[in-house]
Amino acid sequence: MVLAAFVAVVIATSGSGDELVIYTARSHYGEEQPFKDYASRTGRDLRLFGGSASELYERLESEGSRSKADVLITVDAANLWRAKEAGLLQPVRSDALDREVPRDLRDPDGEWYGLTQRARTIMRSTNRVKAGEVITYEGLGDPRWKGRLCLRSGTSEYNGDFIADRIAKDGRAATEHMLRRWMANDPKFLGSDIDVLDAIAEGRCDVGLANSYYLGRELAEDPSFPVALEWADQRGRGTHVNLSGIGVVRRTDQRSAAVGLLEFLERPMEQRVFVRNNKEFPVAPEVRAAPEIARFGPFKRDPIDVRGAGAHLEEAVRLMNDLGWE
Amino acid sequence: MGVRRTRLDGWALATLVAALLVAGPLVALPLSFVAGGGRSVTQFSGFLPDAVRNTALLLVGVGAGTLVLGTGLALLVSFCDFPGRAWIEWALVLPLAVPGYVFTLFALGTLPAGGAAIRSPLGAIAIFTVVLYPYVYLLGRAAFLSQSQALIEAPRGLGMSSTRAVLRVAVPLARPAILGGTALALMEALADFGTVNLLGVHTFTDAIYRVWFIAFDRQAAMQLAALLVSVTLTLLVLERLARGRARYHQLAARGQAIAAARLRGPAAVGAVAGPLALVGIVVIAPLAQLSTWAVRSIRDGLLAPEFAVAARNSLLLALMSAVLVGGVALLLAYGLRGSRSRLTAGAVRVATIGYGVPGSVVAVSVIVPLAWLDHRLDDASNTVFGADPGLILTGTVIGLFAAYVVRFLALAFQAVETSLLRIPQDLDEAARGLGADRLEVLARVHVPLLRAGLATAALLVFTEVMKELPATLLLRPLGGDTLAIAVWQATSESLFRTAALPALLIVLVGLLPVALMIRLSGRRPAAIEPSEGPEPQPLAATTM
Repeated sequence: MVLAAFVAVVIATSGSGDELVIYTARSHYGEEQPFKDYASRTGRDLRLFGGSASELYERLESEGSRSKADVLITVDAANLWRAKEAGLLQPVRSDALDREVPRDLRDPDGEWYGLTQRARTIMRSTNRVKAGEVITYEGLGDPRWKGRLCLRSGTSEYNGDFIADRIAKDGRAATEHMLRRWMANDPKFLGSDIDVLDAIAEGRCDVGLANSYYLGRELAEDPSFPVALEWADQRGRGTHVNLSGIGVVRRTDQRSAAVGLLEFLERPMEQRVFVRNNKEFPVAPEVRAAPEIARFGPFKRDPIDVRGAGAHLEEAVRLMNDLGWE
Repeated sequence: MGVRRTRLDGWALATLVAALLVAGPLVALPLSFVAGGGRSVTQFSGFLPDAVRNTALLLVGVGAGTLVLGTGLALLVSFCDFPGRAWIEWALVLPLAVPGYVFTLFALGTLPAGGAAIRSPLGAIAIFTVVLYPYVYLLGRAAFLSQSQALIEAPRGLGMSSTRAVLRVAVPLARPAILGGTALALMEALADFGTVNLLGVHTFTDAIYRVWFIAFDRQAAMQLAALLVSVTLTLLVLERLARGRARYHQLAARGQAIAAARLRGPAAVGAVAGPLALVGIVVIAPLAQLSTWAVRSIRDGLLAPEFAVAARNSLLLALMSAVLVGGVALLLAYGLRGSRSRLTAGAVRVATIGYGVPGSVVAVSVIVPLAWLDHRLDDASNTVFGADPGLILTGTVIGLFAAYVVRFLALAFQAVETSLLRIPQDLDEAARGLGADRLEVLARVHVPLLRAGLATAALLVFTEVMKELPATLLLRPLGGDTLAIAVWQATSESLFRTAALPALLIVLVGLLPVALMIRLSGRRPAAIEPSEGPEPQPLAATTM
C-alpha cells in the first residue's frame, strides 16, 4: 500500500504530457494574470515553476534534453544570454513577434524575446532630497550621502545585472571606482526593492536604487507615498534598463504551443496587462507606460546589451562581493 | 547452521548497502576537490573570508547564548520552586516548534524600520539563541534532575552557600549534557539557510547557495559543502564524546532527588515573569501576529498562489518521508542488531551523520550523483526498450526523498534503535528457536513492541520535513512547492501577510512533537536511581 502511494505520488509529480511547462523567474505575486488569460483562452493547462532566474537556468541545464520545461522566462538579460550560450533555447521565427518586439529587444537569432523592460534608477525622499540633487549613478557615491544610502542586497539579480552592464560598458576600473565610493557611504543593505522604498519613506535613508515599477506599485496604493524617482544618467548614456525575456526551450515537444504563448504575451493587449498590473515598461512601442511612472516624464534609456551583461555577470558578482556589497 | 549464516549475511549485506547508499553522497563530497574539470577554491575566494567570519561569529555567539540561557533556565526550574513552575517548565520547550525562518518573518514584519536592527550577524545570533536554547535547557534539566540532593548538601556542609554549591558542583557535573545540548544547537544553526538568507547574513550555507546560483559553480559549491561538513563532523564528535561521559556521571548519582528552594518576593516574580516573557516573545507573539496576518491575507485575497497545492504537497511529502525514513531506520537498526560485522556497524554510523549536515549540502551532494545516474538510466532505457521515461530521479519527488533520507535518517534511527535496545536479545533467540526466520521475528515480535519508538521516529521526521527549506527548494520537482517554500518566497519579497498562513501551519504542526515529548517525559522523580538499560538518547529525545 505504501509502495502504491509512493508510485502514485511519483507519477503525479512527474507531470502529464500535454500541459505547457513554464520555468519563470517572475514573481508569483500578482504577475501571473496574463498566463491565466492564456490558459482560459486556449483551454490549455499551464504549469508555472518558480525560482530565481539562476536557479531555473541551473535546473534547465542539469535536466538537459530531458527537461519537461517548454518555455523559460527570466527577469534579467544576463540569464537570457547564458541560456542561449548553453544551447538551452531554440530559434523562433514569427512575423507577429517581429512586428511586436523591437529589434533591439530580441535576439537576432530569435532565441529569446523581450517581455517587459525594467528601469533600475535612483530613488529619493521627496521630503529630504530635492529633485535634481542626485542625477547620476556615480552621484550616489557623493560623500553627502554617507549614511543616507540604501541598497538591496548584492545577491539580487537586478544588482548583478546592473553592475555587469556597467563593467561591459564603462570597463572594470570605472565600475570598481563607482562601487568603492558607494561602499564608502556605508550603505544600508536591505532584502528587497520594496524594503529600500519603505526605508526611504520612513526616513531611514534618503536615497537608494530600485526598479521603477516597485515605486509605481507603491504610488498606485498610496499616491502620497513620499518617494520619487530620478531618471539617472540622462546627460550620459541614459538610465539602466533590464529585460525580462522569454524563450522556447530547445527540447520542447510542444513548440507550436510555446510559440503561441510567446505571441500571446507580446500582443499589445497583454502588454497592457503587464503595464497595468505590474507598472513595468512594455516592449511594444505603442503601449504607454503606467501613469504612476509616466508622471516622472519621458527618459533616455541606456541601450540594453544582453551579451555584455551576460558575459560579465560572474565578474560583477565577485567584484560586488569583494568590495563588501552584502 | 549453514543456512542461518547465509541469512545473517543477507541482512548484514542489505544493511551495509542501505547504509552506504545513504552515506555515499556525503562521503564523496571531498572528491570535488580532485575530480572534475572545474575551477579551484581560489576562484571564489572572495566568498570565503566573509563566510568563515560570519559562520565563526555565529557559532561563538549562538554557542554562548544558548549555553547561558539554556543552562540558566534549567538551573532555575531544577533548583528553585516558584508559582506555576510545573507549567513554565514545559512552556520553555515550546520555542522548539518555531523554525528560525518563521521567527525571522515575524521579526522582520513587526520590528520598526523593517527589522533593520536584526539584519546583521548579531540579529541572527539573537534569533538562533531564542529558538535553539531548548536543546541546552532540556538536556541540562534532565542532567540536574538526575543529580541527588546529597551532592549539593556535601559542599554546603563545608560552609558553601547553596548558590555556590550549585554553581561549583551541580553545573560541572552536568557539563557533558550541557555541552551536548549546545553542540546540537550549533548544528541546527549551522544547518540553517532560511534565517541567514532572509537576514542577509553571509554564512557558509548562504555562500554555498550563492556560489552555486550566482557564481554558477556547482563544483565550488560542493567544495564549500565539504568544508562545512568537516565543521559539522567536529561538532558531532564533540557531542558524542560529551554524551559518552554523561553515562559515567549518571552512575555517580543515587539517593534523594534535589529539593528545590522556594523563591519568595521579587525573586519569585522574576522567576515567573522572565520565562513567561521569553515564551511570550518567541512563541505567543509570533502565533498571534501570524494569525492576524493570516486572517487578513484570507480576507484580502493575498494567499500565496497555489496555497492549497503547497499544503497538500507538504503533508504528503512529510507523511511519506516519515514512513520511508522510519522504514530505512528500522532496517538499519535491526540489521545492526543481528550483525557482528564491524563494517556494517561503521557504515551505519556514517549513514547517520546526515542530521548535522545542512539541507543545502545534502541537496548538492545528492543531486550530482542522482543527475548523472538519471541521464544514464534514461539512455539505457532508450537503447534497451526504446522508451523515454524522462528523468525519473531528479525530475520527480524521488530525488527529494533521497535527500530527506540522508538528512533525517539519524533522527529516526536513534528513536528506533533506543527502543530496539530495550527488547532483550533472548526474545529473538526464543522466536528463532520456534522456527521463525529473521523477517518473521521483526514483523511479529519487534514491530509490535516498537510501536512507540517507530511512532516517535515518524513524528520527528514528519515535522522536520514540514519545515525543511533548502533541500526542498533545490530538489523539488515541477509543481512541488511546499509551505516552507511559500513562506520563504513571500518573506523574500517582504509580503509578510502572504507568508503568514503557511508559517502558522508549520508552527502548529511543529507543536505536535513538542507536546508528545512533554507527555513522554512525565513527572520529575522523587528519588534518583542509576538508569537501567540503555542510556537516554538526547538527540532523539530533543531534536525537533
